[in-house]
Amino acid sequence: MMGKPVIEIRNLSKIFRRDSFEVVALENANLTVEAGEFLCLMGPSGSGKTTLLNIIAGIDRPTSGELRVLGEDVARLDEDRLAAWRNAHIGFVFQTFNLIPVLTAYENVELPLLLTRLSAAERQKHVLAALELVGLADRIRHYPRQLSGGQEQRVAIARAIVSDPTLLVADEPTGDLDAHSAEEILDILSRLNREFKKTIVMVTHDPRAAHYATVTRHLEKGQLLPLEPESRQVAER
Amino acid sequence: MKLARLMWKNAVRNRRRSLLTILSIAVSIFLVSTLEAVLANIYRGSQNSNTADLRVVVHRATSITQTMPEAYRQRIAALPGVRALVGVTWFGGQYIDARNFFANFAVDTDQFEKVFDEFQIPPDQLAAWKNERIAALVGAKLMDTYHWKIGDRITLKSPIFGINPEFVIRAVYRDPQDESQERSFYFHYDYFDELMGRPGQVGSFSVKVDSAADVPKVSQAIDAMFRNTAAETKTETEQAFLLGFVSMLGNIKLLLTSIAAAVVFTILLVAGNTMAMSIRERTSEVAVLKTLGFRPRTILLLLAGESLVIALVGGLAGALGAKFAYAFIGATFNNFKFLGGGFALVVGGVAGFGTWMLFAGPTVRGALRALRYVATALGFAAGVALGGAFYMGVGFITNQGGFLADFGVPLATIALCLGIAAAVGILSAALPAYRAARVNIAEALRFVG
Ligand SMILES: Nc1ncnc2c1ncn2[C@@H]1O[C@H](COP(=O)(O)OP(=O)(O)O)[C@@H](O)[C@H]1O
Ligand SMILES: [Mg+2]
Repeated sequence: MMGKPVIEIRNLSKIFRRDSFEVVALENANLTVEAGEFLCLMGPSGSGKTTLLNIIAGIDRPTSGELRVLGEDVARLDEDRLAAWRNAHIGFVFQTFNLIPVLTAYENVELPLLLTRLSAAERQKHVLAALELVGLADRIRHYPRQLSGGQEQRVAIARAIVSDPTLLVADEPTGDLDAHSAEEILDILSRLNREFKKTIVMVTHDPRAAHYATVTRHLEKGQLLPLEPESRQVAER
Repeated sequence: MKLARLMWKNAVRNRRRSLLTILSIAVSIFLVSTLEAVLANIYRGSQNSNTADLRVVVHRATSITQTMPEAYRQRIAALPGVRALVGVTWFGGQYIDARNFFANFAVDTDQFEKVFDEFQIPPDQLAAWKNERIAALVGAKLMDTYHWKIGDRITLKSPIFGINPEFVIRAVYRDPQDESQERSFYFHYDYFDELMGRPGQVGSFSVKVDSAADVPKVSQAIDAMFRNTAAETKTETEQAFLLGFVSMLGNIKLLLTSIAAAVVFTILLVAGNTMAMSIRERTSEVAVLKTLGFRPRTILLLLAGESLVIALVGGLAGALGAKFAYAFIGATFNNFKFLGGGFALVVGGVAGFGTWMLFAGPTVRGALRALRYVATALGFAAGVALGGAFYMGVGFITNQGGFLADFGVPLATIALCLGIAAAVGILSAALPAYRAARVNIAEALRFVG
């Protein structure tokens, strides 16, 4: 559709083995995500959504199949390179926010930049811009426990975008939030997609979320269901 | 370093746990500093004198407490390589009563300054000492301790020999290389021998030889000369002699070192357990950091650094605490004993604070709260009692006349203790940090929500 694909997945499988047990979490998945898309992954619990997302984001490895993310054969990178790659190209948003409780909002957002060569002044510029973008410029000295769930998730989004990554992955980012906060988070993600051209892959149970996505794909028992022609839509602008 | 802030914030994230860990490391390092300082103080006298290298000591082969005939003096003096010698007999005299302990010896005065050439004695005083039978030569520190002046008359009572001779102080010596040597009292052998009824027995001979090569030669010649006599000798360097004296006290070094090692091992277990707990609780946080791009070795550095910070704070508190505690006791014990009360209060305060922190927590209400006050009061009282007893005990041992006079914690001991603390910090975190650094991100994150 538009530009070169950000994610290309061919016959991707993931099998968890534990002792004599074997769980096929993902079976022969095929998926292409173009630059600028906002992909929504839906499906019942245990259907393999998180597994797929983790593999795309380079925090888990597939058992078999081909995988290219941002042109990189992610599965073949060693651990150190993979870490550097995630730091540079991927932004993460988790269901449970996962902020570091002993750090302020500012310090949490600054974390990914500590691994770069940026000077303190440059880091500050980026951190403040990211917090500004999520509307929390006035909360920089607050600790996570002093923030509401919605605010925590906004800090987490600021942390995810502070290093200006190409791809954002979000695993049920609204799962722990009330309806109003969830709406705010989805608005921000949608804005990041539209205005800042971030490619986003989001796992969600939330039917409203699909509304913000440009594409929705369903998983069931490890099977990525084929794309229904009418599901690639243009989110209302 | 950019990660220092995160490291620090992690180190103080659980204040109660960190403070208790710091406290237990501090107390352990205090003990280790003490043991190491005792060793250092015992060995100090035997190690840092250079001129003593050319000095050998002749004593009885069977025991250093036995004596030998004074006629040995001429026979040893005649050997080639012998420059000078002095008969030295331990007198064991007490000044006023047994608590005032210092070394006092009956010596040959004629060649004294040639044998003990590291001593600085004003020539007129040296002459005055040699010329008067009851004259004494006294170390400068010992003079200070008892506020003696030249010309003072001193009586020493010797339970060993059963005589109470009177002396008059005529000379003071200094030993710039080692001030701890300035605590002895030397008087004429002749005077002593006469009071004893001229038995003509000498405890040991200190012999100055011409060169380093003469040390083994002369030693062997002396021992060979008296072999198969009623009083066989053993000749060794002064250093070896002093070390032998130390090891005679029950191989203190081995004992103290093994106690110190046991203490270190114990803190390693305590700190290791605490670190393991603290890191395991944070597995998901570590997984988040790894997700953001932190490499395993960075995580390792972060966690080990955190543990290092805690251990070093504890180590520093313990080692400096020991240094100041002993310096304080040394400075106040003789004249300002009432300040021992302040010392006891400080120890009580630390113990009370530790107990208070032990019972800290958001759920401390009602009966638990009352228990906390009671426990803290008990901790404080126990600390005061312990601190007071410690002050008095250490005071007696280390006071001016005591067994470990001038006791102090040398800088080298502080450095050693900080090294031990650092090792404990890193080792205690090593295994849990290594595990955490290698944690599988996807699995660790599954258990978050
Ligand atoms: N580390 C693991 N070990 C064993 N089984 C796992 C592991 N991770 C996921 N699974 C299994 O794989 C399947 C898919 O899990 P997941 O991707 O988390 O599903 P979803 O996110 O859609 O709820 C589930 O059956 C789950 O139990
Ligand atoms: Mg999931």
